[in-house]
Amino acid sequence: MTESEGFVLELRDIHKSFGDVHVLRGIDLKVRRGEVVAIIGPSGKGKSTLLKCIDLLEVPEQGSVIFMGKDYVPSARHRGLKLRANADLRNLRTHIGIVFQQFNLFPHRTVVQNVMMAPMLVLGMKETEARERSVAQLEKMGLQDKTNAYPSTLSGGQQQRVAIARALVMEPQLMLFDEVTSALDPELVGEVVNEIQRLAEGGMTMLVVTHHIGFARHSGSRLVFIDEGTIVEEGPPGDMLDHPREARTREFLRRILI
Amino acid sequence: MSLRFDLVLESAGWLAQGLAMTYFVALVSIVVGLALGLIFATARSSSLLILRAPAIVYINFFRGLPLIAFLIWLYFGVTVAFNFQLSALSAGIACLSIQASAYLAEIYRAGLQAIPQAQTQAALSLGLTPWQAFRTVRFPQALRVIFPAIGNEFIGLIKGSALVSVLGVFELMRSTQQRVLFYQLPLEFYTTAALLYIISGIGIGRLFLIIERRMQT
Amino acid sequence: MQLSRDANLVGYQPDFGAVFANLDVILAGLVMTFVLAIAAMFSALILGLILALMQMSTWRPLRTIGVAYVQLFRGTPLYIYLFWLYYSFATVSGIRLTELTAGIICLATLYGAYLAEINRGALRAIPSTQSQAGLALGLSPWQNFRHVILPQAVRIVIPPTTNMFAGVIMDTSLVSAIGVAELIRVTRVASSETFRPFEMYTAAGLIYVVVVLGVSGLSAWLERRLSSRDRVALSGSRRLRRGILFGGLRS
Repeated sequence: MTESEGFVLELRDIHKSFGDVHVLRGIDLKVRRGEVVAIIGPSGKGKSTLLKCIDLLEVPEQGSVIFMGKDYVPSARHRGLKLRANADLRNLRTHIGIVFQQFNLFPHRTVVQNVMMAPMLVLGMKETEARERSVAQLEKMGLQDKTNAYPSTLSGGQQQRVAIARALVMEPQLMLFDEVTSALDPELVGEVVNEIQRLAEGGMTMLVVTHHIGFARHSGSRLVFIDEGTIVEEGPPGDMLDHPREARTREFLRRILI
Repeated sequence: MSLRFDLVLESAGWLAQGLAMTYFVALVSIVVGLALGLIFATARSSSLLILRAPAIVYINFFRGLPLIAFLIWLYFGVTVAFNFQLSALSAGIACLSIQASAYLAEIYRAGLQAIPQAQTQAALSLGLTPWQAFRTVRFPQALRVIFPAIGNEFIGLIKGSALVSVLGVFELMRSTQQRVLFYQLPLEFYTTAALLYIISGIGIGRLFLIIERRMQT
Repeated sequence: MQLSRDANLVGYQPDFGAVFANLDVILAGLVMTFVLAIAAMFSALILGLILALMQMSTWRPLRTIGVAYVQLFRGTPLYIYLFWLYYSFATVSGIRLTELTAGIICLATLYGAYLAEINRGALRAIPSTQSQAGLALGLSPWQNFRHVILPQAVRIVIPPTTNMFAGVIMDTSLVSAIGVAELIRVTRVASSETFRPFEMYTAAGLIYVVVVLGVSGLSAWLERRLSSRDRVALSGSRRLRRGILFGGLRS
């Protein structure tokens, strides 16, 4: 796989509707290797859908998702499949990690089994190797004493960190975070944000949908404001937060910064 | 082979008589079952062990006893042992009602449990007595929740009433069997009877659905 | 003297010796009940899985057949279905089914429809986000079904399916009507020979209650056990149990 002109990901004119609701109305976005793109905007205005479109868990009706120089949408749309995966889609999803708002851990598997599943089934690793690698990943995140616990016995913050470990163990080229702290109790937000911050400092390419303006300011290399299915404004976080150009951005920031 | 559904048609009156008895048996049984079931559901939810324990035994016993075993035990066994006469119809209705009451008791209980405690608390805070709160707030809401289940139970009774034919009650199954013997046409008559049962079930299901919608508006 | 006066008062002197004298016959009947129940349940499990997958198929004709089958059989009373199959199958096909075969086919085809509903409910009870999470990791659809969806669905399905087995055992009693020598049939024969119907039928009833309550107790225990590990399965199976209770699975 090659990167086209240094871009890991390129979105061109992404459109997505659910029934009559036109959720995404032409999104263009380019992400360079090592960039941390923070996406902000009102709830329910297409940010989560955008991330799902990148992983092709939702297939856009129009536009291109170009990842590492390859356009994946035609093959997805050609099969007309939602939530299905041919070899192409599996390839894309293997190299992109996504972390959801609601963790979505597998409740019938222990923590380490959650993390081991993809290395074994997708990469074809042997069990001992997959376990070693998974335990190492969990250790890095301070979850070593939770490896054999079931997800339901963990706090929300711990569950979310397991979800991050489950994505990272595949050594993805790109990480997508979908409001990963929204479902957490306030006192648990810190541990998860710290984890993401550490990843950002380690050079991981990331798209982070967040309400956490502090994170966007300090860890984001770029800030994108999405409203009504389009990118209203983007730029360096500091400039944009302090001096928004667009009225809609100003209005949104005023409301959430009160 | 030629099908003789014309002979089925000739027996329409005969079958209609059986069908009427089927409905009668099921209807009486659901009414008695609903009343008995409420009593046992209340006893089952009681904090007094002396009420709760017999209710638990009753409900579980009759849910675990196959209807046919119950029917022959009562009609051919108990009557002999205690030397009394019981018509086949009363025996059939008694068994169906008692069995239905055991199922309905559990349905009531599930329905009452589905109503949040806060509803009762709200009623009590308005000054209602516990009985008033139950009668005007909790029970009507529970009834609405379990209404579809009562419909299913009624359909179950229509189907179950076929077993009463074992005792000789002239309901749809019995009348069909007699025609089968008379004409030697099992396929035609059993198919017709099966369709009558299925259509009855669908019809009652629809009826309950319509009433349910009415209740909600 | 004392005894006979009491006997007069009671009017009837129960003699459960007749039951013990016929214990071998009763036991043979119970074995036949289990043969019927296990054979029917085994076939119904396979049928139920196939029907559930058919109902959820994206190919319309398959889905229609699955849905129609389940709807039709859920409305069919077992008793008349038994007579219909046993007496008219021969007239149509020329093949005479044995009583046992007819009984097993009836129970299996009927309970296949009930089990299909349980399976479908369980598969639907797994949130689509689980599927998304699996696919997002790069699993193939089959791997996702096999490792993410199915294990969770099985956990939900086990308790109500066990409960359904209790229903099958109870419903084998109907098969006596076409002449299979199961528990009801043998007690009827034995009571006409011993002139002790009360004792015989009491014994038969008690055996059913013990067996059925044992199986449904097992179902409740399995539910508690399986749900202690994860909350998702718990809420799923609760929902389903309620569905079954409300579905009214009486035939």
